[in-house]
Amino acid sequence: MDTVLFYLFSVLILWTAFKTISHRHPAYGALYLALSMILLAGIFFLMGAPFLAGLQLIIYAGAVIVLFVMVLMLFDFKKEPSYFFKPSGWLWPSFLFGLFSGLISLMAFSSLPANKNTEFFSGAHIAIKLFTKYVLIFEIIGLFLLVIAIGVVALSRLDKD
Amino acid sequence: MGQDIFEFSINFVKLHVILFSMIGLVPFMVWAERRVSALIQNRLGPNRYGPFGLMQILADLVKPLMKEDFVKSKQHKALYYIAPILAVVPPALVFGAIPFSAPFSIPAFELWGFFLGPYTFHFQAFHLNTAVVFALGISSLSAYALLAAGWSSESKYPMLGALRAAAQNISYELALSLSLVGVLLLFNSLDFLEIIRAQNGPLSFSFFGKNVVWSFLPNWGIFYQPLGAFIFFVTLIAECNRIPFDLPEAEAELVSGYHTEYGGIKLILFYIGEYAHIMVSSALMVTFYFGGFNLYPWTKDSLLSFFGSEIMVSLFLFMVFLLKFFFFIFVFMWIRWSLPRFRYNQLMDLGWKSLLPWALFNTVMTALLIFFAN
Repeated sequence: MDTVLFYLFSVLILWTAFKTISHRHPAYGALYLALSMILLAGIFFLMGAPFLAGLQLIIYAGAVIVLFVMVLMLFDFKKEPSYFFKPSGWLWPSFLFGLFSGLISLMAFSSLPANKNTEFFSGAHIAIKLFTKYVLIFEIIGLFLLVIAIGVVALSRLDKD
Repeated sequence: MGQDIFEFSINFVKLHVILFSMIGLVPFMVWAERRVSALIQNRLGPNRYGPFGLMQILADLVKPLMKEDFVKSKQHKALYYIAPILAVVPPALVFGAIPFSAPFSIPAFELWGFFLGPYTFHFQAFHLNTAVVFALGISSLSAYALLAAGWSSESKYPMLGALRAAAQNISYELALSLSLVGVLLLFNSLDFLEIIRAQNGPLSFSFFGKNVVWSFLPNWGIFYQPLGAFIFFVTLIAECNRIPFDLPEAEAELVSGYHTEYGGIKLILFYIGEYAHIMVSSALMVTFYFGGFNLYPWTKDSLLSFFGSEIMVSLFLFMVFLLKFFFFIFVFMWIRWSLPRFRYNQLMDLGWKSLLPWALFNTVMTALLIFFAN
């Protein structure tokens, strides 16, 4: 049952990810991206990490991509798509994508263990790891986010002063 | 899911019973809303058709079902149809995770030659270990329904309403999640059942090495987290898009917001989603701050000696939960018919400059008190 659901979710994620970049309307692309994030949360859930699945839903599907969708729905896309779908515009991105996927698959086949980790990850597990082993990285990321927040406020105030 | 086909089918039936009882409660809530508003405004409300005007429900439901299936948009037809369904799914999923009563165990028994059991019957559609995170994650998806509805209507007012709704939901989600952290720190769990179990008995805590027991108060979250409970309740009203936070459908400015272009059963689906949100909100309020199905001063053991069987105790506690649940639904209606609407900048100021800092303060103070006083 878990295996069937896993492959179902994987196929759906691939399909929604493809639709994200191939749909003619960017707002639909963002909606498909949100769908793939929700499906990814489903895969986390199947792998025995319900806490991570919840965070995926709250942060990516519930906060980040809602803003993307909101902004994209405000624009009037009548001319941009025709420029975007010129074949020459795809050369450089597809080269980068090939490089990226090659690196990812190299990493996946060389370093990661082959078996699926079915251990249950509760919130306490993640919290202990986050605040002991990875506390420095965690704090640095927090600092980055603070810098971004301050930068946005400073930039949006720039015209008024 | 269940360990065998018997438990699986029981759970399957239970899932549907909970979903359909949630949807079936909505017409009664519409009727109750009209009666409560009449009570507050010194009117009579629907009282002619059937006992207490209850048959009004039938008329309210049949009318939209008879309407034409009108499609405004030609370009975004699929999205236009999906949006009302999306509005119902998140609250229905969260509603299934809430425990309505204490679980009881069923000893092993024989049925048609099969030896079955022992089982534990949970009074909820599914039991999750990280239910709080699940509930927050799923309910954060409800902004998509409003955005999709507003955008696919291809009209100015719905779009403005949808933008307001999405911005409001995202802003108030922060204060909502932060005000919950205090409760999670206090009861030390992400599981609804564990949180409710921790609120059993009299108010007891350890304060600088001394064990304090106040037997005149129950051990409910509201007595530890009054500020958190207040912020949680205010943000819940905002998440439900109800007065005083119903800017997305402010009829004086935006006709009726994101569902202006909807009619018939699709409009009713939006209403079902809205009332389901209220049900989920009052159930969460009871679970986190008002002891869930606990009934002070009686504990489960003293009730067991009174009723004799575990199933009867669970059913009795279910009634206790329902009483608290309906009280909070009444409070939601009471607030709606008592307060005026905010302006949009007042709403954003309240969310970002007042509720969020106070929720942060509450989190830090709770963590410090737990760290030092224990």
